[in-house]
Amino acid sequence: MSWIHKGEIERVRQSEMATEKLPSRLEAAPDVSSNTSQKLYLHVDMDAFFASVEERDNPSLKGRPIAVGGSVDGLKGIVTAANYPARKFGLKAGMTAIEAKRRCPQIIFVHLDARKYTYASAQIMDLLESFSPDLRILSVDEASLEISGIIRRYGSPAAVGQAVKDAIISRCNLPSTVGIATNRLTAKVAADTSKPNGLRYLIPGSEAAYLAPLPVSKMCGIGPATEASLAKFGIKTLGELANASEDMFRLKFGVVGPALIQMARGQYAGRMAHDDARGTDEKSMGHERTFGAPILDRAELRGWVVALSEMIARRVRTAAMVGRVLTMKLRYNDFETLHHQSVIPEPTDDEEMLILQGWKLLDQCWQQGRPVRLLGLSLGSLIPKVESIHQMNLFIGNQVFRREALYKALDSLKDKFGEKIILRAMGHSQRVRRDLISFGKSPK
Amino acid sequence: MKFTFAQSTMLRSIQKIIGAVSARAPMPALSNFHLKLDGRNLIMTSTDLEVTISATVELLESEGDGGVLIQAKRFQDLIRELPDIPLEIEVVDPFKVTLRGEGIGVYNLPGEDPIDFPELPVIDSKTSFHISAEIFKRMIGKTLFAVSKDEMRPVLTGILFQLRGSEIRVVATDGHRLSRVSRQDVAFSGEARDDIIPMKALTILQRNLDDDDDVEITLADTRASFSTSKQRLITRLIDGHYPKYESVIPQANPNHLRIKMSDFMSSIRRVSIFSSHISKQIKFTLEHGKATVEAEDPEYGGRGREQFNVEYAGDSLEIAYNAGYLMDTLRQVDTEDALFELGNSNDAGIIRPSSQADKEDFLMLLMPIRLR
Repeated sequence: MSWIHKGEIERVRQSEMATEKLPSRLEAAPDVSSNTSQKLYLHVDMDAFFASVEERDNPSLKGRPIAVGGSVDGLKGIVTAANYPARKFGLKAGMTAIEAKRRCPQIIFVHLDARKYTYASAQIMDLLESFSPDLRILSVDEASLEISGIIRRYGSPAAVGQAVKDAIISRCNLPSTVGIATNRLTAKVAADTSKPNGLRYLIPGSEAAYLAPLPVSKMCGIGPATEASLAKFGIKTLGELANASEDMFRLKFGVVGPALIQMARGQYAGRMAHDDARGTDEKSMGHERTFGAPILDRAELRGWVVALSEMIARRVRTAAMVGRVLTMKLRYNDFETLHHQSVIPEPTDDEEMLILQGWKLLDQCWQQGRPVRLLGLSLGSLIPKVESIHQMNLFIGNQVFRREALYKALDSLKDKFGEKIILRAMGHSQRVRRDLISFGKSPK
Repeated sequence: MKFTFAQSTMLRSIQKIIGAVSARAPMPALSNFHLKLDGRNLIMTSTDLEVTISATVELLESEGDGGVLIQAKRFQDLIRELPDIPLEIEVVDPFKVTLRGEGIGVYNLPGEDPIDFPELPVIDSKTSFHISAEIFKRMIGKTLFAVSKDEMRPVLTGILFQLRGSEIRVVATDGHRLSRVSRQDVAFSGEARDDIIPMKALTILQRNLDDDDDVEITLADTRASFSTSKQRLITRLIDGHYPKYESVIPQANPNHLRIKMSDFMSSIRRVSIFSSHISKQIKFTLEHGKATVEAEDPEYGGRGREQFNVEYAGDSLEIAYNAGYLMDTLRQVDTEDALFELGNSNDAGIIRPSSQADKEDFLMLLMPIRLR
């Protein structure tokens, strides 16, 4: 799936096929909204994503074992995804079509349609972003959301989880599994172990107990090699790992040792925690979009610059930062990828400035008429915005202050009612267009 | 064709025209010098399509005529390394260039057909006037610092030349500071006009012109030409409307400050060591007869403060500036004292020399940093 997953974000799990089926379950959830300092993360993982999209678009496939990828006769190619009925026969992603056919003679091979999955993914991610702006897209079918700010609105963390699942069903008609915990990694394990169509909320404090009986391989980050090393110490479950001696592990595994133990206790989110802790120290903030149908139209690309600039400016303002190096990433249909930069005269958090600079960059790096499959913008050289510092301008006068007041008002609207409550007309048409495209019809 | 020249003469000419050779030329011919032998004159030209410069090289001997393109960078490197002796260049068909001299080696430079070189832009205009290079350079020198580097506002990346009868006004601003020099001694009799000349051309002229040169400036719709007896520079003009700068010059700032340049500059230099590296903010507190300047680095800590006596007539005032901008501005003052006319803390301040040079009016504006 590497050809459509978010480039910069490390793909954290091996394969959705590896997870074991557990019954869907809804934990009783106490109201934690009073405890505002506690962060809660919701992990969404789409169930057999590609296969589910195919099932949805062709209901006659429902309940029958299907494999996405491979040639229709099953003589060539590799299975990219298998639905749950197929998994019963031991089918896994990465298996050759011939092997799949041998294990499950009645398997139906479905042609892989990347464009369709990318659209569905974009729809889902947009939807998730409307729940919480702190969205981390982990791959085409997985994302992590920080939800502590919205629990009060839904009543409980589990209710947020259900709302997310319901929204994905009503928007895209696709099944998903949700895990909720106090860090991203544990939330991911909670989701992985509740598939398919599951929902699991681990009450703060209960993580270790939940993880304890699971085999160590369930923890992402523990691959076959680590699993084998742990087995030498007689450690097979996460519970055994949680009780291991940190000192001994430091000797045996170096800095990773204590981290492994922390992970098994449900107290550490590894690299994902690192990203969270980075917070306002980030040196750049950016967004990118892969387009299902490559874009040829200048006006549409400019619209995307607007949409991306808005998103960046909003994040930069939320973090109380200003930045001055704008980088555009542009990928053509043939995967040639360009990066162009421009330096903004003064550090800014003003989307209008980003839009103008972004348009300039677009004209610099885009060869008109060449189809673009990905467009990204990021603002770098971020520094904290110190309110008192403002070099005044002879010609702009009070405009700057008025614009600052305007953004303040817009931001508070978005905080209250969600990101799409108010958008620039130009970026808006780009951002909603994807949502209107129905599947099975080729987007123009 | 064949010609002989002195190494030092050639090197001087190269230095005059190398500025228009761009490192990444959009077409290969632009990384070359165009050499053209016309009787006893060798004319060397370079262009980046925005600025075109040609220089006339004094020759010791010459034979035949014609033209050739040679690699600018390599030719410069070679001439620089040669001793100051007569050197001979011979060009034989097809464009094989050989350089020789007594006691040195033989150097073959791959030449190219001059047909590939862009033709010299034609300046079709009768709007022209003469100005002494000394005055021209003085005016540019006092304004270049304020030119904007912001490509989003192209008009501000050049200097505005306003011709009004016998008065010429030269203006530059980046929005934070503004510099305006006007002179009354220009022999121009055409219609009033405004032209925006790119910074690059003016920087090159500032370096190339000798004080005793007489410069003929010719202005056309899209180009301007600056010629002396030895060289000519043609530049594209920047298209667009320059902001109405007159309206931002305060007419009656009530607070008047007179400072001694040398003491004041030293104080700012010392205190600004403690300013935030982001804002470079230094703050002045002005009271009757007394000024305090202070800076504080909120990020790394540290504080500097100096107090001195000044001639100040006005209300008590706190005002902050970017120390870098303030020093850039004050450096243009060539009198012992400088005069400030200030409004309140958020207003543009006027800075002038304590006395104006003959037939000149020089004024700068500086915008403060907003205080919390």
